[in-house]
Amino acid sequence: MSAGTSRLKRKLNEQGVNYTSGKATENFCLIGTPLPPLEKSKDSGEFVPLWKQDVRDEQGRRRLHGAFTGGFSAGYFNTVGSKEGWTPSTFVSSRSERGKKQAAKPEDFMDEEDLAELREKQLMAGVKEQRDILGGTQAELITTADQEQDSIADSIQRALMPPPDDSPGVRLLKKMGWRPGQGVGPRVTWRQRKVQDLLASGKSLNGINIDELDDDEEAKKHMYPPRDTAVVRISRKTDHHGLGYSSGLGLSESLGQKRTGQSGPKLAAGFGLGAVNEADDDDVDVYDSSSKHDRTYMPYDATHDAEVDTRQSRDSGKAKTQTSFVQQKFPDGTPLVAGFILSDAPVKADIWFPLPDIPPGWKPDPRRVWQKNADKENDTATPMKKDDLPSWRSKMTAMERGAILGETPLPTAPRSVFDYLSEADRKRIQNAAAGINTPPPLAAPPPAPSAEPTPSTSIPFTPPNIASAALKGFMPFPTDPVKQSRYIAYLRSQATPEYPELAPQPLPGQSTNDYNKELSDYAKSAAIFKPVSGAMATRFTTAAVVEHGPKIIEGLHQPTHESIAEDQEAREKAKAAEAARREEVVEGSKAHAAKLGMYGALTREVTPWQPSRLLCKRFGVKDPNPDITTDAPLPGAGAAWKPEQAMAEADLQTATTAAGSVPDPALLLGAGDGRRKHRDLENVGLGEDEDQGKDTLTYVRPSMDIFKAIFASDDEDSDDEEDVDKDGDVKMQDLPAPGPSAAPSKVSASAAPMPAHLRADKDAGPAASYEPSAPERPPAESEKVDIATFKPVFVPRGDRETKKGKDKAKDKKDKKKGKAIVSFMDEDEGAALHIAPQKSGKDTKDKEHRKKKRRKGEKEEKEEADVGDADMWVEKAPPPTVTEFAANQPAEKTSPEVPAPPPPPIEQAPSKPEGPPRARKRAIDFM
Amino acid sequence: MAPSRGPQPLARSLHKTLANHKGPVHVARYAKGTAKYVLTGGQDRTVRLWNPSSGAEIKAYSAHGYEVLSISVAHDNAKFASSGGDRSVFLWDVTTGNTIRRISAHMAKINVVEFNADASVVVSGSYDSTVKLWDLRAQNRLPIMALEEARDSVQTLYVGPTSIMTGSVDGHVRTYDLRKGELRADYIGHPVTSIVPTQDESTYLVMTLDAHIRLMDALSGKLLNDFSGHTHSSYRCRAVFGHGEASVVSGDEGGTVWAWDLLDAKPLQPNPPPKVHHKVVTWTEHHPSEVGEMITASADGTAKVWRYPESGS
Repeated sequence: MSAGTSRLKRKLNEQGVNYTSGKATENFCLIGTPLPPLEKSKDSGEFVPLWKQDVRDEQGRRRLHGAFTGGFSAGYFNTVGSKEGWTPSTFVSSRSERGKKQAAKPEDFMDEEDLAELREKQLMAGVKEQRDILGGTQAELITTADQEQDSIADSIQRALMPPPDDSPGVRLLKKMGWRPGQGVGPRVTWRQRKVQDLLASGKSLNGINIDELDDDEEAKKHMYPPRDTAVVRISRKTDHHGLGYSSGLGLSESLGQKRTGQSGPKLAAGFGLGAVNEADDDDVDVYDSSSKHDRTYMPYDATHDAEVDTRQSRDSGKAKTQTSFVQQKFPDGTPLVAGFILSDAPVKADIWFPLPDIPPGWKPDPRRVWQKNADKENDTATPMKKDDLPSWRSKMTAMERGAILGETPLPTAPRSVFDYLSEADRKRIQNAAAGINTPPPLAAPPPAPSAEPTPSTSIPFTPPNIASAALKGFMPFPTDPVKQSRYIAYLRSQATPEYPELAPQPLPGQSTNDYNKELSDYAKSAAIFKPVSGAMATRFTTAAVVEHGPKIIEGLHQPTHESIAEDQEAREKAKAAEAARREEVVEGSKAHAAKLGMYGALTREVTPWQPSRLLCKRFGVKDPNPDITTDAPLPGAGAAWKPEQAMAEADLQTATTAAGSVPDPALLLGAGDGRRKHRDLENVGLGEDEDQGKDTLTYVRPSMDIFKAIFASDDEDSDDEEDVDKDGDVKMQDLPAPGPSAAPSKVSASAAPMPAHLRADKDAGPAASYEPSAPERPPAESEKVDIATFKPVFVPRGDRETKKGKDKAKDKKDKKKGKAIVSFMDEDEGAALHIAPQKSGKDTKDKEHRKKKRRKGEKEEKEEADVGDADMWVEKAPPPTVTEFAANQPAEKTSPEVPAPPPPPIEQAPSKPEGPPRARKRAIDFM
Repeated sequence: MAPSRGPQPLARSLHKTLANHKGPVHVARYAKGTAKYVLTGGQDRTVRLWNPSSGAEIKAYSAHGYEVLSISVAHDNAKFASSGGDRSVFLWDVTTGNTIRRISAHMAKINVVEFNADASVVVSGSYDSTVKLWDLRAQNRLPIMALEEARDSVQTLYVGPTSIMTGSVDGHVRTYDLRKGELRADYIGHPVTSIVPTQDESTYLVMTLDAHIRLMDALSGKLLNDFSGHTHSSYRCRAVFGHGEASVVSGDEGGTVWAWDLLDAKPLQPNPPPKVHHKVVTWTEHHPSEVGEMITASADGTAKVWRYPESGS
């Protein structure tokens, strides 16, 4: 190929063609479609992906925001007012501008697009007008008025325009069978229609034989719609001519002849062409196609019915539209209703005349005016003169006038049965009726048959059952006591017809008429206000008072009773002042004292106050004023400690004990038996402890021997009394204890009293400490009961014996126990338990175990035997004899198993072997 | 440093300012026990728990719909009660910050609320001139009792072990003695804004709107001492005893904190005291045990903790 090209090049060279120039290589052949130009051209048909497409209106504004595109602009940019969203319009008071306000029209809420649409529609609506029932559409009327419009254009327009809509009325009529041009009403015969036509044309029927007028036999066989009635149009009178005058009438016309024609051109169509009009003949368009404008002045021709019918309305329509075919509008833009004209003259404002000047010093006193008027009203009949025409007229009734004129009276309304009765029968019936209505011994004298027409008093009849019901029911005159009482009297008389004299008598100044009216009112009221009977009665309640308000005096208010008002005001003021003063008296003393700084009794007011029980409970306070109802109050609730009662008891006891220096324990016990059932921990030392004060009150110091018997140690017989004294009340209270040992024979060693401080019995502890022989636990049984119920703190006797006076700490413990007479403290027990084994050399666990067992109350004898020598139960102190016996021996050896001899008299007990050392120690401790 | 005789001087050195409240602080109370925490309640409808020594806000309790006018801390510091404009008493759990119970039965705002000793009863005194006692052990909607003797707003309350004292705008201090079952009404003559009895309840300190603080004998109702000099005419202020009940301390409407000797009723130095708050001091409370610590709350939106100067302590 290279050889070929080189040959070509050579050849070209030879021809003198420079093949290197651009022209030589120019290509005129286009293959394929060219690529689009690089610079972007506005190509509306260009493909845009769906997500890039947007909808714009003709103004180029974006449409379809929000939901259509993800809602980012949510209709802000061209739909609502602000970025934040739709801003509600702020409230602006339109009160002062109510008159200027117009009712909102739909157009107010439209944007330009909607308005444009509306305009289009309106245009269409203008085209598609409603056909007026009176004749054609508005457009037609306009065109008829517009004479210049040529007929061709008119017909073209007519053909192009859509057929007019009928108004609803026309549509209704059409559905009922009416056709345009017909009259409304039932169909008439041919003859009737002829008559109508003749009458309409103003001819009289006289002399015309209607049947002869038309001999169309076929036509007579049908019924025809009646002729249309012309609407009477009342034109506005704008001139100053007289009624019935029409300007421009010629002489002949004014003389009554019918004017034959109105204008030239129209006449030309018919054949009643007169010579008068010939002059204009040339101008007449003979071929005027608007046949509806034809006027025929022929006698009636059935074929031209329609034209004749429409003539009148056409004419009037033309007259109207000539002034108003320019669509008029109200100032606010709403179009006028068809057929109306906008008035040029503004509506005249009513003239208001200024009030006359009120003369100074004038006071309104309507009574004067009323009196005047009342006179007038009452005397209206008298000043009327017979010859006064209007009065004469007013006085005449139709009947009278008829009688004067000699008319036959009209048949009257259904007659009463009485009309057919004879005079005598009528009278009889009347008498009988009077007998029912007004009881025979009539209160008012029966009307004398005198000439003067005094109305008789008639008491209206109310059935007795209704009357009695009304008596029980609502009384309608609560504010007028007189009326009320008369009403009640009336009801009574009606409820018991046998006592007609109960009926109220006419008041002194009351006329008979008034009296009758009053009674009939009462009868009506009774009928109305009788209570609803039966089941309905429960569903309603009656208002308390009907005539509630103050009595209203009609007319202008004239304060004639200033003095009364002032009086009342003054009285009220005085009352208020009185109240204030009284309060001042109450408050005053306090306030005065407070002002002076004399706080104290003067400013303090102490009143009893009852806190609720729950509150007392929550505050942990005893109810200060419990209602005393129960004889034996529960320990928890507790009876109040009544000082007077306690004093009385104390008195009694002191009285009884006063005789002998030694208190009679039996007496004390007996006194206590009844009451002290419920002594327990809770009420010891508290207000409800009845015996709180008594012990001290009745205390008589026992003899020394008792102290010795209790506290003296077996070693040291000599005890100084101070120690005993200092041991405190605990020991003192123990004193009566040994004495009572109420059943001496049964007292075992265990039942013997012991120092209270050692008795940490939870239940009977305090009671026992005060008097060991508590009733519920007689000493004899105590041995058995103890074990089960007692929860003793035990200290091994042996310990105490061995350790006595040895360990200070231990003594302290004891002291503590002694102090806490009533408490069963765990720590004490623990201490005791802890200490005990050390001393006894026994295992703590073992002891605990045993203790548990004991609590269960099992095998008490055996256990006691086991324990016996090791730890002695403190509460089971040996009786004096035993102690005596044991005095020579070590204390450990005393055992509860020792048969209990009858306890000797307390005085004889010289010493107590185990108690005293402890007691003395304690006394020392106290020092 | 303290004089040998007479009361300890007042702790007047500002230790911390608790200023997180927006709007007036109506009440500031120490916790019970060692009183290491402070609870404040204010117009901003919150109750705030503070550590007064560090000045840190520990917690904010917000459930009130209106201002908080009163706080009372239970004996075990586990819960507290608050009341205010929303006419109900709120019981709060301190640790969780939730309301345990809301008691609403007053007709008007509740000015004051107090627990009894074991927090089994809460007592509320309201603007509707009643005092109502609520049982916290039972879920009863009705109060245990309503004390309706007051004829005007009840401003202050004291709930003792066996008595309840109320102070009312009608100028009366009423002591309801549960044990005796009697009501002793002492007429002071001016609206009472605070009552603080001594620990033995034999006397009580009553602050009235005539700018007087009176020490009254609870037994006889006699006036024992009268402290004045401060300005107090329209707001609720509170007068308390200083340490050891040797002095009387009160904030006044001028934003100053006054202190008087209990015995001779003379204002302690400095007299007149410096202005420490911009607005009325609404609440004054001395630390129950510390000598030199007290707290004041003010309408200027702060509560301030006062101590002796650092060098001294």
